[in-house]
Amino acid sequence: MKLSHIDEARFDKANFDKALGSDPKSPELPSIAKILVNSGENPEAERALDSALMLEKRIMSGMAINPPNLLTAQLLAITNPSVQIGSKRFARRKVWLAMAASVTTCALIAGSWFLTNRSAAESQLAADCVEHLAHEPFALSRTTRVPPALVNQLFRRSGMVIDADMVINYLQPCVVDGQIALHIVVQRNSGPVTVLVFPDSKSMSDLEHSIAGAQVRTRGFDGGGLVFMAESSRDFDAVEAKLLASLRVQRIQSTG
Amino acid sequence: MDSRQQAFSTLVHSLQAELYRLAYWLCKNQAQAQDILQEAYLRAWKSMDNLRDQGAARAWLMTIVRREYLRTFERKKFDTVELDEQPIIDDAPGMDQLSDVEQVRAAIGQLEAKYRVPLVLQVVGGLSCSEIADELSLSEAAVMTQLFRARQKIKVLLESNAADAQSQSNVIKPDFTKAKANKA
Repeated sequence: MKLSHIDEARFDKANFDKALGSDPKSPELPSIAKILVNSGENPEAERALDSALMLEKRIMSGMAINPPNLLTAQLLAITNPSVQIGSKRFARRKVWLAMAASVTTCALIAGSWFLTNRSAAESQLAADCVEHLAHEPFALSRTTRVPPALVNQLFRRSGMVIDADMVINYLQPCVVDGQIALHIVVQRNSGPVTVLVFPDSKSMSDLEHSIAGAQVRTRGFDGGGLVFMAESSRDFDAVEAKLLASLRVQRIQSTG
Repeated sequence: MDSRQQAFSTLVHSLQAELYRLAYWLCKNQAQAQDILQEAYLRAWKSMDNLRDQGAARAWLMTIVRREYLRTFERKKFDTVELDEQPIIDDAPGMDQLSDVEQVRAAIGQLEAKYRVPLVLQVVGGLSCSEIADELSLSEAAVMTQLFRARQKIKVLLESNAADAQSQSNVIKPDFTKAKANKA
């Protein structure tokens, strides 16, 4: 920050404190701190500057997050000519498909799926569902029950009803592959089972797959779809049976 | 790989980490940050012939990231539930159990957008107060005030967290060994 608009000779404690808070890395501040200390105007100025710089270092460390591993490949796939056409949403999908086809690491995620000759939309959805797990990793460790009232409320807002005895440990409305989904985690003896409930998924077939070490089951239901994901598929049958028994096929008017 | 692709690859490798941080801290969401970056680089690819200067490309991409964030996420209103009204029991670790970096991240994450956005533009984007003021259509004085308050809020959150941790460590815990010995 350039402090030229402030007369350094008149730089009092209040101005100095404000400058520390608005841009502690400003190159003028050390010399101004020295002037304030020497003049007796603010004997603590240099200490305050050190403290502000220490906080700034912590803020910078906090903001220094690493990009996801696949981001570089995803961005480089943009140069694929087939990606350049169509709408933004279409382009994004094409980027993912191009990446899946060309990048070895992504092939681990989508490889077995592509081998089944399923439609691009289904492949995209499954890859997005597995990828979505990484966005909310904390969901898998939730062990307390989500209050039935909240479960009921969120399902109703998605146009569905669910029985109160369905125990859910995590529930969050999400957007996956451009569609609204309810992200559910149910804790079982073999570990957490994640279910993405798509109220309006047009093309969901009954399939079993292994994607990037995760077992995935997709099921169509009443114009919607369910995607089950877990490290082991051992509890899929039980969770599916319970969910289908609890989740009413009768749709209700969304209460907003 | 042709020269255009080579130049694009250089842009991706040299700037994607910095741009991702900017996008992430603007929207606080990994998937949305990836979407923003993809859009920014898609535009860069289309304009590669005008982006030979690396410095200009950085500023240009940063502007696209900021505008894309404002365009996509500030106007988008999701159908959400007021979770504050719900008696949720959260078993996530408390602030006192997080590392220093995680505590700082949690504190930044708690800032309202009006404080977080200028701070992110300054710390990650490297923008001056006047540049932030231009970008956000605010006066420079208003930006300075928001930056000042952002840092104050982070400081208060971190200090109160440190005080909580201190008070917990000062709690006198029952010494069961001693109690057993006295009983004997």
